Amino acid sequence: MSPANPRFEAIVMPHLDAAYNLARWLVKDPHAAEDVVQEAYLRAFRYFDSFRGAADEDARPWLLGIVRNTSYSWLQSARRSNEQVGYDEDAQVDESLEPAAAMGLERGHAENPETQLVRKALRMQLNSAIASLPATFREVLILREIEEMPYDSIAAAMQIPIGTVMSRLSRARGMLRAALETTLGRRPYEA
Amino acid sequence: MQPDNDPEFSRLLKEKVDQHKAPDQLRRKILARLEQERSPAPAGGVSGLLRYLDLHWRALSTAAACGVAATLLVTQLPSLSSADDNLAMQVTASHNRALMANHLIDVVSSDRHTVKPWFAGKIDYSPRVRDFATEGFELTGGRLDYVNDRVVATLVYKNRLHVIDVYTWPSTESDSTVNKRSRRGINMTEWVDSGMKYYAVSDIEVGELAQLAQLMRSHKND
Repeated sequence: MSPANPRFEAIVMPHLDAAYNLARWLVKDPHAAEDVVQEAYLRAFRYFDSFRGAADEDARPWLLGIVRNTSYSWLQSARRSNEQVGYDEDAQVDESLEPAAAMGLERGHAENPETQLVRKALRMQLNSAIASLPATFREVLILREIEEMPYDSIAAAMQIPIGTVMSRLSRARGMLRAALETTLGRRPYEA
Repeated sequence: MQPDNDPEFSRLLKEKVDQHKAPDQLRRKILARLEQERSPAPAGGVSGLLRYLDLHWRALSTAAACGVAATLLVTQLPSLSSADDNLAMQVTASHNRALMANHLIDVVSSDRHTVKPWFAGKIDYSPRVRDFATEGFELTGGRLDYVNDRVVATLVYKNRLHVIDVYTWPSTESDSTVNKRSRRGINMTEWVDSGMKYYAVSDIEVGELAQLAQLMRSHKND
């Protein structure tokens, strides 16, 4: 029997937040994201031997690769059983905006209501614009801008060449800017 | 190609876009599940060994592994009589059909007090219904199926991303222990308990399926 595995815990568990954030942005549902991450960790644990080969390499790209595969299989089966699980993409997008609203309120005491509203609106617009991007663009944007991963790690996680990561990222930013300019009627930085 | 750098836009995104933190309960659930994974199930010397083989598959030479696995399968999964085989086939087919036809659940509820009465008036017996969410098997609902020349109650459980169907109907057979079976990648456990026959079907490991069977057997008075 393999010994209790402190090595797995030491090098894979620290990436739990990144794993959850990616799953959450891909499947757009907090409960499904938990299930996906749990399943991904179990797979990672079972195939940990295949990762171990590479000395003290960062486990994050490897783990996130498993998380995205698991997310995509979930999305596929959710699409198939749409009515059964009551999966509603629009409803999920709305739900992802709740934390944004909460943030706006927290900062409330220092700001006047109008600034608050603008800040809250921009946050909501941004989150919902990203949620509406196609998944392949959404994931590259989250990994780069939110998780701040280097290009080569993103390439490793997504199993695509670095050049493709860059071009996808550039397109994702372009799509996002265009979406924001349409909804806000101005460049997003002018908030 | 050169990366399209726009530090101002990046700063805006980093500041405004939600970065979801994993809930504490998720960390606990994962650690508990991994703990289970590394220690063999109490009743399952063989399932522990199968799990060990799964973990160390690559480490063993393919030929040796296949040999051992084949031996295990033969000893672990009893050869079926043709009547049992036919029943196993019907149940597996029903499970696959439900998954493919999106007919997973007729009554959606995690509350046994909703699921149990739902069957009343639809079938001539009342299945025992219980939720095992804390043990990792969440009751998600129930449905009716046609198996073994009769309408039967099917309880639907969820384990992580997997669907488990538990078919149950009255039987005149005497109580039995939990038998494990496998058919084309679909695993089954089957047992008789206090006049009811049970068939649990899923693509999760047969050891995990046996855990659900043990849970159901130990809570029969509910």
